[in-house]
Amino acid sequence: MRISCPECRFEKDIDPQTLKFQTTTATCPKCSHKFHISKPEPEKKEERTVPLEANAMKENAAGKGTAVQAPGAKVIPLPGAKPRQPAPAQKVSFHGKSLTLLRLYVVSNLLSVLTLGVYHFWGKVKIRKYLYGSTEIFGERLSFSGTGKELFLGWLKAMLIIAVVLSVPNALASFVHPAFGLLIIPIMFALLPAVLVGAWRYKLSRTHWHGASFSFSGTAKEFMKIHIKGTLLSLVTLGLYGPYFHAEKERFWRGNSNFGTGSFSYDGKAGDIRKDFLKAWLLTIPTLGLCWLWYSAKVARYDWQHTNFGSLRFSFDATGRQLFSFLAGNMLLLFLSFGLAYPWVVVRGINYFSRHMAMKGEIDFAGIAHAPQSAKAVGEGLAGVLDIDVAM
Amino acid sequence: MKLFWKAHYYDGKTAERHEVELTVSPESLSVKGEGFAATWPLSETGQTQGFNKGEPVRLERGREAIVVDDPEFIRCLCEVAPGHRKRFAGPERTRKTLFIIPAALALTALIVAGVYFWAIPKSTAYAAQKVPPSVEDRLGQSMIKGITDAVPQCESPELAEAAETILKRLEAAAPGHPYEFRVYALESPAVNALAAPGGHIVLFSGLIESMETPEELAGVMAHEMQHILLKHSTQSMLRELSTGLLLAAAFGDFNGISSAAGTLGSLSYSREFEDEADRLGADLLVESGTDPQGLITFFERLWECECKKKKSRAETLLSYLSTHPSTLARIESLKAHLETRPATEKFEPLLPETDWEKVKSSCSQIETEKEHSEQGKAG
Repeated sequence: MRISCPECRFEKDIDPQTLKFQTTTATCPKCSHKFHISKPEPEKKEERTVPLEANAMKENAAGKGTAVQAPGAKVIPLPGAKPRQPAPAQKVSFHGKSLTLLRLYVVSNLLSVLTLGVYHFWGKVKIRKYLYGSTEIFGERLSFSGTGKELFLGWLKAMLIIAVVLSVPNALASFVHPAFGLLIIPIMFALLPAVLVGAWRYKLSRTHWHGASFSFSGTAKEFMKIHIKGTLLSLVTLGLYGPYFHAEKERFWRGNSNFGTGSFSYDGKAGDIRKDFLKAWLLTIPTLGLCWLWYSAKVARYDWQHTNFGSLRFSFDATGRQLFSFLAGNMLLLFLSFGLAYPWVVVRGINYFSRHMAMKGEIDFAGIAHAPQSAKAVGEGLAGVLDIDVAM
Repeated sequence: MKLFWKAHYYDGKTAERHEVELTVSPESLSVKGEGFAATWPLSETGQTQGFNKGEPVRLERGREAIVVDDPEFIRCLCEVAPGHRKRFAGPERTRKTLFIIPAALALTALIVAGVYFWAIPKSTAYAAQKVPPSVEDRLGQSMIKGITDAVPQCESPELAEAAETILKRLEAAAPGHPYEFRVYALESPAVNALAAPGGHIVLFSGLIESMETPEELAGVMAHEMQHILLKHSTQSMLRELSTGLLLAAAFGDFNGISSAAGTLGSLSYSREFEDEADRLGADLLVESGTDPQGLITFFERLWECECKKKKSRAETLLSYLSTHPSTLARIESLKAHLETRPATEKFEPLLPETDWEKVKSSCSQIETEKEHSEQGKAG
């Protein structure tokens, strides 16, 4: 087969048999540009029958090829080869089974009851490990490295913090002036950013994938500024500051999330979603607030479209209708099963996300170093105590 | 059995994935890749994934990791290295483990039911006896404060005097208790009365207005007094607390559910508590020389209203019914209980010199007067 360098058009003939993988990275001997080459169609050996997974396999091979510099990659590209194919879209695939999840929940609940709730944290870790281990991205499973012990200690510390934080205004209110009881509102307001950032940092730092872990570099102080400014301006403008607040928050959350030494970035602008926000704002009363579902679906699509990781681009294609039927289905399931269908709802949630999520482009895995972050589980504990859900 | 296992290796330094081949020996794992070879002693190797069907096996050693897609690998590892069998586990057989779901569900339900219907009532009844009356009083005061902050108090002197007289007469019949009873009349259309721990009785003006004789009021007050004397309110507070904890432990939710459960049954009593307070309340009435028929008459009127639902007053009466369930059954058991007592007792009339009609409407009069004066001011 003939291949050519897309940069300098240098061409060479190579034997496809020497290619170890479906797709591999070649380095041009002339300009040392790196690019991908694929084996010709009939040579393709389908290792798995599901096309999505086959894609994933190819991509892995590509990633590996770059890294190891297998003999196949040392090909000298020659003129006249076929042009580089556009990279196929990657999907997230979830292999979890609702029944297995139900088993994990039921056993965890039983052991929690027997241990007066202490086992709860260990059960939570087991469930999280199962969910992470069933999620496959680029042919590689996620893994969760948190432990029950750290979650338990985090919860204890969180309870202590909450007790202290609540007792101060309480004591002031009963000994000095009852008005001090109102202090609880600004305290909670100030605590919220720290809780959210702490919980998110913990979750990311315990998530491993493809040889590196995720991390979060945003600080509570930074988010506090965004949060206070956004809340005040939203109040003053009767909520019309919403899209600006949203864009700032997303820039903070997405832009500060990292995978190894690589960083995610967000380039969404409030101006792009302002019109939709205004429409939803005006339609709130005639549609009984339902228009916000369509708005949030649209914003989710927009946000993912404007999220990058290096040259990797994301796309999310759930429509408002799909979001509506997803949420309505969840409610119906929980209602009809008296909550017993919760594992199905969880699986539905991950499937909903992975069905609509797609990624295009490549990740330069060799260029990403593993950069572990040590984060305490207090944030997660506080989020649990205050009943705030920080989801992926 | 395979001798070489295809795997992926991560060196813990970069996110790069290396294709390697594994060979298992009794004490170690040899990892070979392109220009790369390593030996992992099994005693330093831990497994973090591969416990579920379809999940690749993930082995970790420090920051390094190896992922094997073939689930058979673990079985081979256990066979070749039996000394390290305990460190590794393959996916559990799905069919074998699924029966755990109904078994664990049933066991959880059994434990929760046992704790809820047996352990909690038993232990809270015991614990309530140990709570000193001063602590009960403080608890009650904070509860009362919460209510009186939200609902205005009725300032009618006639009603206060009538309630005080009834209270004195009832208290005289129940000597030797550590409580100091206090009655609060609140301006609210609810036909309801509450007892807070430590001797606090709350009467709503809607309740007083619906009564035709002072004996009826004495009946309700005797009933609420018995809730306090029998420490029912303390017990139900403890019950709510422990039920919340039980639910939290069962569902692993330390906030949402437990707080919801806490508000579910605020100041409501179980059926047995109500029956006990009814019976002993009637006894208290008889001992103080008050006609217990008043309590029965009141319940019967409630029952009538219950039958004539959808009429205007029924809605306000519903509030009483929700915390005091199944009126008819209570009337029956109250009547049956009174029949067991000798019928020779003589009853002294209660408040013979007071105009009950005036007392019972005194709250609403003040209310309307206030409205008038406010309107006058506004005009």
